[in-house]
Amino acid sequence: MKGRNNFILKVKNLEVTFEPNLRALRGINLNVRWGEIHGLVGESGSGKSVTSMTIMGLLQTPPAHINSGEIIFNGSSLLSLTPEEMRLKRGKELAIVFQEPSKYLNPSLKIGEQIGETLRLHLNMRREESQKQTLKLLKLVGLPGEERILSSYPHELSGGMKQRALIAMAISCNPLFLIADEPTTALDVTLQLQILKLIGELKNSLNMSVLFISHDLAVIREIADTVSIIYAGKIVECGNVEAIFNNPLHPYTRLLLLSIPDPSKRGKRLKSIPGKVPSADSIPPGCAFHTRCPIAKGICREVEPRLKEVKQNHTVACHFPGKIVEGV
Amino acid sequence: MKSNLIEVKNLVKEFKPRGLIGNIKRGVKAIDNISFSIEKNIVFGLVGESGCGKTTVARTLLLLEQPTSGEILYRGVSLTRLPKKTLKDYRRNMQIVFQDPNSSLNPKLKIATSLGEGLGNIGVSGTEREEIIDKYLELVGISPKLKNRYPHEFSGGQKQRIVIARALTLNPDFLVLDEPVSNLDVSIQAQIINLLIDLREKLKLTYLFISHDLNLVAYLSDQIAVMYKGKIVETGSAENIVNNPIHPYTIKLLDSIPGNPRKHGSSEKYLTTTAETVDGKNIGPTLECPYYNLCPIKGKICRGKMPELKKVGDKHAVACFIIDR
Repeated sequence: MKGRNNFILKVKNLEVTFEPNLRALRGINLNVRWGEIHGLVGESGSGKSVTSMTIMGLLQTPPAHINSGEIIFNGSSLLSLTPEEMRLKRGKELAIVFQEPSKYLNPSLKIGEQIGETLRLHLNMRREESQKQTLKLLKLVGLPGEERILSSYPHELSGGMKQRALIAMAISCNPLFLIADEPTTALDVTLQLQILKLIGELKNSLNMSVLFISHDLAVIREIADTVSIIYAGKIVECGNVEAIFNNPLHPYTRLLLLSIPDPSKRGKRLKSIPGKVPSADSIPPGCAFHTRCPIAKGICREVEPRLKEVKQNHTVACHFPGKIVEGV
Repeated sequence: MKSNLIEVKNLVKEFKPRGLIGNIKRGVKAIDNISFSIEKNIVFGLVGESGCGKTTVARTLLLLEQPTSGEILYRGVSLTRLPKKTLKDYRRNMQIVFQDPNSSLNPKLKIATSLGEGLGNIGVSGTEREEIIDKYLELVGISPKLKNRYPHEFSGGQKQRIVIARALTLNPDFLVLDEPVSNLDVSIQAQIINLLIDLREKLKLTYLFISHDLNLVAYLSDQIAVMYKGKIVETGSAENIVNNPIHPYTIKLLDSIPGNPRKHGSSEKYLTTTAETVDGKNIGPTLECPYYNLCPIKGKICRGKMPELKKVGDKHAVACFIIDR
């Protein structure tokens, strides 16, 4: 079951709209293998967080509507579960770490209390037992002086320490699957790399699979095995990390990579993408990227390209995959 | 030799929390004895992590905050000693662009009104004012036809363009850019960076570019200063900082750039996976190197003495005892 080519999570053709007419997700296809770190990259408003919230069953409906699609997690269909069944899975089998640690910790509860709560709820631990386990978890996420941290309040910890505490909470029930939704965006650069390393290490030691969401391609390159690029509520390219970074086939991916400053080309103009990400209530017909695309032709304005496997394990949604025009 | 547009000498800014009875609490030195100079027409990059004092440098440099001590010179004129009225004439030459365009534009004012405010202050009005507004909007890529709209009608990238246009209306020659692209998406970031590169050439501007992103600073800047806990720990040409860093903190910053090959080979030593217990504040006088707690190469001397910024090459200076070893 846990073979390299089996998927722990399959998202099929997921469509989510928000009232009145925002098309947040327009048919997301996402396959996460057992034991991999799957990177999901996109700009703000592209649907990254709606995807993660839908998987976790945290989407408020209404205003959101799940119009179609399926989410198969470890063999069971998440969208057909009752809220109560989902609540039992959430935190135990699937867990999530959010971007801003201070927003997701209760400021009036001690750290130990907050981590212990998950253990008592999901694993039916007694208080003393949960406290022992919490200490172990804190050690695992690299928080020194664990005893002291148990009885600290969130405001007594630095941003990096808070993020570690949240990660401890997320992995407390040894979940199969972790969603890390921009976990390092609010952190300083030197801390960022530490947290990335920590997530990589935990993935190995706990045998987790990870969906790692970020707007930062460099971060994804650092940590991910497989990468999916999302644009205007659709996956436009997916492949392993080397293929995406060395041989991107979608013009959007290629332009994104070119817009990262490279200090060896100091002072030169960057290749930038004209215009901006379309908002969810005015997505252009045909290929959603055609208005900004340097290689767009007539067909791109009319026919929406489907995600096709162009090379082995490398899928692209573009009518002209890999076509290169000058400078792009 | 090129002349210096800006010179900062021994700048100190201390924030004193008020106790119950007057100032009895010890102050926090946000910037601690900083000196640097910026030549005409260059981009001077200032890099450091949150809380290191980057923004305080920007604010104090423009005298938006009164420095505790030290001197700021613009074209050789000491601004700190000028009377308020004369200072006003100098202010128009030095402008600032902040990180968050949403909070730097008044949501209740049409953008033309926001842009015209500075011009009104120096007595430019009527058609002349409108012409200048149109000119600079055009220059940053916003159609002057849109000038009677309100900020919420623009996207984040457009707002940042408008803020840049506003900074330019008084025709300054020095621009402080405080994390100008950190709030923007990757594709928009590149657009704004290109705009800044173009404007510098067209208008012969000098930039102080502040960011936490060393990759970006190295891309844009000619000179770089690395700040840590209110002090400059290393400064030099962009090439020197990127290819020949000396201070252990600079090396750590470089090696922390994600996706970067850790060419300085020190990764394991520097990048511990256990949390660091850092108190980010610089309270009270201390006799040790500010980086002492985290430094992988600390020695005995680092505890008892504060390293001073020492020259190690052409325009390359480091505050670390390693250069004496």
